[in-house]
Amino acid sequence: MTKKIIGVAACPAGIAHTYLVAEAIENAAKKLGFECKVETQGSIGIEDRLTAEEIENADLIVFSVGVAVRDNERFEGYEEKSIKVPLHQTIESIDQIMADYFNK
Amino acid sequence: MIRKDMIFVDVSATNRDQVISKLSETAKALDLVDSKEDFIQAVMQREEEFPTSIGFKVAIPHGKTKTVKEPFIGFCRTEQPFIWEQEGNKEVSLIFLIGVPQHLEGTLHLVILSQISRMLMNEDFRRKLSESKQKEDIYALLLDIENHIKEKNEN
Repeated sequence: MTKKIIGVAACPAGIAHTYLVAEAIENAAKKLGFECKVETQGSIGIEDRLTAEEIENADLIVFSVGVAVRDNERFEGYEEKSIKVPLHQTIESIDQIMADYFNK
Repeated sequence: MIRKDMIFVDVSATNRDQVISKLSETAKALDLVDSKEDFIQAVMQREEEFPTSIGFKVAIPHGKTKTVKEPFIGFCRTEQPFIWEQEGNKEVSLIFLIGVPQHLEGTLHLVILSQISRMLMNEDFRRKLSESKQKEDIYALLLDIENHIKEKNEN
């Protein structure tokens, strides 16, 4: 089965990094042949909001955030399949981090 | 939002302050900011919290502050790569300076900025920014993103 990756991207200004890391996660997932959807919580507001079903069905949840996650309670109970990756690390090496996660 | 007079190629700057100052000075001359000094201060405060060099020779300094009258994005390509700041030790030659008012009506400008940010993760886009000979080419590249979003917004 194709792995399902979901992510949450957010940064303090919500102008640039939110979208850089969202793109980085999506690109990495594509490269590895995974399905992917990333919710962006930026100054535009929440886009591509993750549904309860998507959260439930995800194989991995990547949090790449520099601020508190909005509506965080949606992700409670899924800590085991969640990883937190700092913004800069996401941009540099999320492909490697994802690959390692499934190869451990 | 994309303006040719905010795009500079092959600038001889060799440090972060020179680039931010040059673009901010132009923003002031174009009446995009009230005060060059206040804008630079906001940008540098953001840099101190966390430097905005992101790798791939790209940096995206930005300031969200009331001194910005109109959202803008400026671009500067330096002749030679330089170290953005000592701690991160990352080489930079492609710099986007972003200014956003504290309270912004509407989201169109933010959508354009978000799309340019996404494009920066695209190797082909970065190569075009590096290899374009003239500023007109870079202007066309960025304007294309803006027009695409405006069209989408109208539909």
